Amino acid sequence: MSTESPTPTTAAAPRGALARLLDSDLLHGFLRSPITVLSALIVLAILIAALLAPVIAPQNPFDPATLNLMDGFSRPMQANAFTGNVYWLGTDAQGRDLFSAILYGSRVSLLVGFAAVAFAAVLGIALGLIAGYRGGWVDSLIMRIADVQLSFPAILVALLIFGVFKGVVPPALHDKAAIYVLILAIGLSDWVQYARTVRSSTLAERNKEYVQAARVIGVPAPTILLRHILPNVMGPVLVIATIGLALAIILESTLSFLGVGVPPTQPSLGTLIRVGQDYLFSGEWWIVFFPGLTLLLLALSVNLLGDWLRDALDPRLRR
Amino acid sequence: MSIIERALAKAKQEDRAAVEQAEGLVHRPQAGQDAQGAVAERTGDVADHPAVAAAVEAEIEPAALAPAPAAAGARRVRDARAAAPLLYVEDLRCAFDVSRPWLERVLAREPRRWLRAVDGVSFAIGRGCTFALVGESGCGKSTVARLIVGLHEPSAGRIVFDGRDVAEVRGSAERQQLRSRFQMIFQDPYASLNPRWRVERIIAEPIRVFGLERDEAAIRARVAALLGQVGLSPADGAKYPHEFSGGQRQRICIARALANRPEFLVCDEPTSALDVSVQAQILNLMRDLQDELGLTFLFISHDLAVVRHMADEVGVMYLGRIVEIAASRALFERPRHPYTRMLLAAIPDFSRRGRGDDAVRGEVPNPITPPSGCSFHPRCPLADARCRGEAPVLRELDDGRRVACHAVEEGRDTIEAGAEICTEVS
Repeated sequence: MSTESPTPTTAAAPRGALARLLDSDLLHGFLRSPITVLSALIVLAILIAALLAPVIAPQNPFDPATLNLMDGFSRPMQANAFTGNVYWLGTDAQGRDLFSAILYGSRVSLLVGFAAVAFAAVLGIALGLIAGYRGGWVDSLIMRIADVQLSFPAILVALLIFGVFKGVVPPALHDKAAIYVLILAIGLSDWVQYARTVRSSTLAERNKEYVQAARVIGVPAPTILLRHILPNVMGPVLVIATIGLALAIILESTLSFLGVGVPPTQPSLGTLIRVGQDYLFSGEWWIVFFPGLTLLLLALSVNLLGDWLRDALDPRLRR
Repeated sequence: MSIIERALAKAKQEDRAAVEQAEGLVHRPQAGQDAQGAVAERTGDVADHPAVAAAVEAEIEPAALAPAPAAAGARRVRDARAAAPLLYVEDLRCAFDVSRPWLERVLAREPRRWLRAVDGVSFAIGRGCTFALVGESGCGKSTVARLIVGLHEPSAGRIVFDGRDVAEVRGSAERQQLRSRFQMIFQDPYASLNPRWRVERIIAEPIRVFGLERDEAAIRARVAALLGQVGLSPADGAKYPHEFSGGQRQRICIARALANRPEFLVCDEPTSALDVSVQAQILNLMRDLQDELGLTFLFISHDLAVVRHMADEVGVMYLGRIVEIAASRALFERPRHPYTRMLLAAIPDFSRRGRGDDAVRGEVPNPITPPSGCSFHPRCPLADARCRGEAPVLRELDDGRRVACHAVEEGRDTIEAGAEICTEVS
């Protein structure tokens, strides 16, 4: 009659987080997919290179004193006609080493990308949780704002914020504050995705009985949201954040390419591409090519990682 | 005899002999005064059983303080205070707004539409007793449970817990104090435990919320004790809910519900998501804990076999109203309301094999537009013109039960259909 023994037979001690990670489906699935491993390696390489840029880079491209105009337009891997210096990836018009510029540029791009995603995620998650949990007019208000914003392209929203910034902040501060405004603009143009995802998951979680069990004993709503619901809605958010990172880096480059992003004195990958494209038709292809390639590899790898994460976390797609 | 009944019987063999006899004696309508003598007559040692003695006493003492006569629940009425209800609800109502959005409604010139999930429900639960609410899906029984624990606000009516109107309790400290005295066990053990929390954290949550223990060591000790109390091992606290089976998860839910030492437990179909063989274990556990801790249960279920074994008193709900309230044994032996009879006749029975399952006729009407008069009249074999025009109210019958039915009141219910069903069921 009895199929269930009151005490479970497996009394295994709790394993450490690392042991569980090493044994998880996630890791096995990861190692089975060569493209994912390659993407992860590329992202990791760019991350480390960007972090260690001051150590690795042969010159500091932001310091005009280290630049030699005579080195300008050096071709990649070829000795400069005037100075005889060899630059792996060539130099730009000012004699700036492109390899160093890319390292420093990735720093800016990655910083803006991560910060913008963090900002967008925090804002979106908070608003999504509130909208989903409270419902009613609060929900309607937040989600209608989201709908309105979603009907504009992100680049337009970001440009609008930049326009406002240029009008409000005194010109002397433009260059200093540009990077923060960039983060703000990209974050504000991207929060909607997080809010919508979190709201729909919250709607599902809110009616689950474990939330009701907490309400019965009078746990305050903010605690329920942070301790109970948030951990259970983070899965999809992680996926969006990864893909969002690639989008934020591209958006940053687009804005910088359009000349509204970071100033040329501290170039990001987008700025390098904008500067380089002036010389594209005069034969100096490498100035635009290498920063573009780096951007492509970075965005593609992050995107592939995000795709893999989405599939890995979706139980319906598990084999 | 269903599988559950057999499982229960097996598990409770020793204790049961005495208990059954006590129940039988006390609940037999005419048992009254000569109960004591009857016990003595049957078997000497049964009369010595403390449960029997207490039950007989409880029955003999008139219990008339409660709005509904507190069921002389034989098994658990050991407490002298049993006569005063721990909880009673009066004319409880809850309506949900199911209208379309404002703009659409205004454009279509529609009135607001309300779903009256609970429509004037009153009952009382004696201390240490189990009151069961039964009915088909959508009859509002779960809504009653939610109203009582505060998950919904009632539209009207009173909920009085231990002499205090719950709605009048103001101030968060007092509210928390009141909340700490009741708990809820949910239907779905797969949804009622946070999948990201370890079991020990889940069980400790009420202890932390109510600030019952301050230091971590004491909380851990209490959690370990609770796990032991529900038949799990203290080592299970370090696991996550997904590592357990449905029955084990329900044990964890029970442990959590007991963590703040409540007096009153609302059980919303606690076994309906479980395997039949596991149901019996969980029900037995709940009964044992009730005896041990003197708990009072509000038991929501659609499973009549389960209700029969758990409840002292049963309220039958139909479309948001209670149509019959009676002591469990009386209700199962002699159902009076046509709806109760229909439900009881629907219990599968091997002896009636091959006779078709025509016991339940019709479907539950749309609760947004309930039928006129008695809401059961479209499905009732006894319905007449009065039933279609006038809603019946609960009236007390000679044997203390209350029934809301014109036919029963007028004595029209003794026709063959009803009588036949009655005999079949018992």
